[in-house]
Amino acid sequence: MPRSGLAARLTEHEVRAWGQSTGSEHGVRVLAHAPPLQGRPRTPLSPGAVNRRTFRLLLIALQPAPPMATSLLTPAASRSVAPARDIPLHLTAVVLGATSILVGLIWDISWHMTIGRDSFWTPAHMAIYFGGTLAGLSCGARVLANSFGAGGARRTDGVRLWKFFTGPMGGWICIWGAFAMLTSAPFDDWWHGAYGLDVQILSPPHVVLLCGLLGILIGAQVMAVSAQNTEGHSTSRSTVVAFASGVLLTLAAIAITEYSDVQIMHRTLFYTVTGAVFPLFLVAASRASKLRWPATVTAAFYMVIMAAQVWISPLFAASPKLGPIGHEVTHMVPMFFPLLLVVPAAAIDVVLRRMQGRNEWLIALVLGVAWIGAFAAVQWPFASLLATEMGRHPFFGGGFAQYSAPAEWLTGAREFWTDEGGTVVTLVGMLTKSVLAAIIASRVGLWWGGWLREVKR
Amino acid sequence: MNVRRRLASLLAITGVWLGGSAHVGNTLVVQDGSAGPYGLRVLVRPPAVIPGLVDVVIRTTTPNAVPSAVTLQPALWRYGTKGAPPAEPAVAVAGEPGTFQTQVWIMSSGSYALHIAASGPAGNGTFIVPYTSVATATLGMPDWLGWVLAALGAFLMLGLVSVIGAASRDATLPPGAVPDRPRLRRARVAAAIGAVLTSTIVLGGWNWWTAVERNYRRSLDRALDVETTVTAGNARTLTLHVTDSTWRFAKPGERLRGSTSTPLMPDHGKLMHLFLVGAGARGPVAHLHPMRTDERTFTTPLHGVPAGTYWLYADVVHESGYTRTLVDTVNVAAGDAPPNVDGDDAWAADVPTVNAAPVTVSEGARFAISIDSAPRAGHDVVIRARITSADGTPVTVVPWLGMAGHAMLVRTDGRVFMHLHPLGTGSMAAQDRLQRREAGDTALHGDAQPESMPADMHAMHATAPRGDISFPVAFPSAGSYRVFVQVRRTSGVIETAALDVTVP
Repeated sequence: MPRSGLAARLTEHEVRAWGQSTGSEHGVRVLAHAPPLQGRPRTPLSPGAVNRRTFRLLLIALQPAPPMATSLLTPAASRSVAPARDIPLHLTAVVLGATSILVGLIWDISWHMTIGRDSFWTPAHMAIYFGGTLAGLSCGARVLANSFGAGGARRTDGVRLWKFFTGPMGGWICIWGAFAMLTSAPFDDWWHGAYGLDVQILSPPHVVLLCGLLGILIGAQVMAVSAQNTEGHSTSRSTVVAFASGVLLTLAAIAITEYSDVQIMHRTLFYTVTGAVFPLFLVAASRASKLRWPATVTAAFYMVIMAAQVWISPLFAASPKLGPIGHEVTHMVPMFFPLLLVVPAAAIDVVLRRMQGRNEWLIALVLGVAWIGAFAAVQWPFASLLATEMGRHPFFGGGFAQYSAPAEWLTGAREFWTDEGGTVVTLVGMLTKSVLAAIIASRVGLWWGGWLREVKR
Repeated sequence: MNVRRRLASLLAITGVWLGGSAHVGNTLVVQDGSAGPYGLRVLVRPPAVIPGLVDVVIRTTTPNAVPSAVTLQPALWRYGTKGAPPAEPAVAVAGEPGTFQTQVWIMSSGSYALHIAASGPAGNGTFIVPYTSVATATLGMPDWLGWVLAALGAFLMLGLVSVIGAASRDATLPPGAVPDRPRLRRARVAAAIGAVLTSTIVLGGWNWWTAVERNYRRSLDRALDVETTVTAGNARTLTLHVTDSTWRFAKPGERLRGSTSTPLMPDHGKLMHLFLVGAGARGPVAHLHPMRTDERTFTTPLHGVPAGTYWLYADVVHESGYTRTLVDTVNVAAGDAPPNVDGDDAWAADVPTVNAAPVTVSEGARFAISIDSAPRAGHDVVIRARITSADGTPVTVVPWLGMAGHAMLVRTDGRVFMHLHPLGTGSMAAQDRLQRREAGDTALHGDAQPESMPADMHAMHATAPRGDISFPVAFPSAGSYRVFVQVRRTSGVIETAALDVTVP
């Protein structure tokens, strides 16, 4: 890759390492197009060498950033003009669709906990299908425009499928997700006629729908990442990547709602389940987005969304339309208060930054331990707070339960469910089972995030 | 709701109803009652699946007192109206004054109290219709839907494998680059792995669906396993032994699990009403009341019942209000036994069939049975029985088991059986119990309960015309039926006659 001036005398590794450690926008525009790190650093660093390199890098960093949104290291073939929009229209449409799906899902869950029965045409269902349709149609339009426009299917800036079609990678995933959602609708309607209304949330047609929703949300993330990776350094695009990752993280959190009750938060099982799920998404997000604190921002988006639904849902009046009713319900029942994921997410960001270039399994090991340590350090005492009367305050949303819950569940302090053998057994379990789960999840997240980082189409 | 109903009827037309339903006892519910000054007849059409929508039609039987508004509230027996959603208003049916219709969701199987409340110019009032909720059928998938879903599923699987391959091949290439051979090969490997994973997931999903179907069929209403034995000779006894594993009652202090874990309670004086109908619905009938000898065993002497093959139907009611019918086929050997001392058993060797003209029964009396309108499946009609003496004056009948008369309705293939009373198909004991439970009175359990009859039943009793008895009923399906009517004369003789009905 051609370089100019001082930058030419730096090794690839130095360029990249400096870029990761500063993360500031101006100084590292030069580094935005550094190729991915392929191997380990070969030369050990002496203090003197570090000082000399630092001085040279400082000189580069102090150079004024060029007015155009391009880097000094951009290959000659790339565009030299700033893109017409910082966030492309189709990306906006897909992210909007993904958000609508998430809002609809949260709304629908609250509806089922409060009112109980619904028809196909409720606003919550419409939000979900609107999101899927918007994402699917806009990606479909994009694929058709690319496939039958200038250049056609022989274009070399997209992903080709079935010989005649080309389009963005995220677009294909969204289209697949939209078809899965469409398939689930008649299947689900028949299922209700055959086996009755949902006694459990997960039924085969709901799993098909969930795959479709995942398709749209993952497609949104991939599309955002592709836009980020191909257009130089753009904070807004990297933030969109973090937002899409946050929406995906929220879906994962909703999927494990059963394990997010306050009373389970002093048991090994809670840390094992959360350790198997959250690091996967957060580590991938940390690798995928080029923000300075990517996983932290992703977790912050999750917390804002979940906190908002705790505070906003009870503002709307509603009452149950199905029995048996266990206690009086007068407003929409929200889901749980968010888990404090920003703290372990920050730990992920720090570990990934510090361990740049090391063996991936070693990184996963450190991430797993760091996750459990950071998460338990905040969530365990926070759970103790949530179990008290203060936890029932509307701010924390602990004073709500679905309509069929008996009134006794809503009064008095809550007792923690404990593992047999007490706290010692719980701690040992956390140090073994939970850490192992977090390590495996982190390894998968590293692999996935590594792939996301490379997506350019 | 409309979309669901339309789809349900569409599926009913094109779908195939599978699943053996042994649900002989409580198909359509018809119940007469009074809500304050208004006399109402309630028809309940149950859904086939639970949870499901139940269809309720409410007709006014008192032309001088017609309500202006009627509401319906289903309450599960354990929770009552406190744990029930708000009452649903019933919509007046155009063209039929005094008739209302609505649909409500029934969420679980078990014993429900349907609270009917009526209000209008003459005042207001409520009464309860006991309803036993149970799933009776499974729904097959229509062929066209199966093909559509299979096609979409194949498309999704193929699409997923293609997307995985394309992602591996192109996604991480910089724009402008073309994939080289190793990359193409890697993409094909990725697609192959994707195909294996996708197939595994789909196979897993298929197994899951099959498991749900299996579980659902297990939860369907099915005939309990029973063993019936008949001894021969002069002390001929019929013994009914329930061998089914689900016949289990909660012990005192044990938590009640469901409607059927509550003890049995007597219904108009008897713990079990056992009916023997000659196979083919021709031939003799018997109406017996076995004694319970232990938790699973009931015995009754078979006084005078002719030898032959009989269909056995035994009705019991749980304290929760849940009614069920045990079924079996039994061969009765020749023999005899002294009659039951309380004199409440009845049997008839030859049952005269009433058609155009009334039949002649004992003491020269004439027994006529008719239906007040052309019978249609799923619609309520009234069966009228009339006994007159030879000169045409109505004959007095005396209460038998607390009722002015009893009727049994059997389809000629034996798959439908209903035991009817002048107030309808429901159990008076269940109605009374649900009423008391709503008021908070749940003190007495099991056989310790005194025989209790609701006040309005006595009242209806007293005002029934002599010799004229009517039974509201709804035929659940098309077919040929035989309706038996039994009344007791002042001499103590129980007269039985039958009417053949064909429901188109």
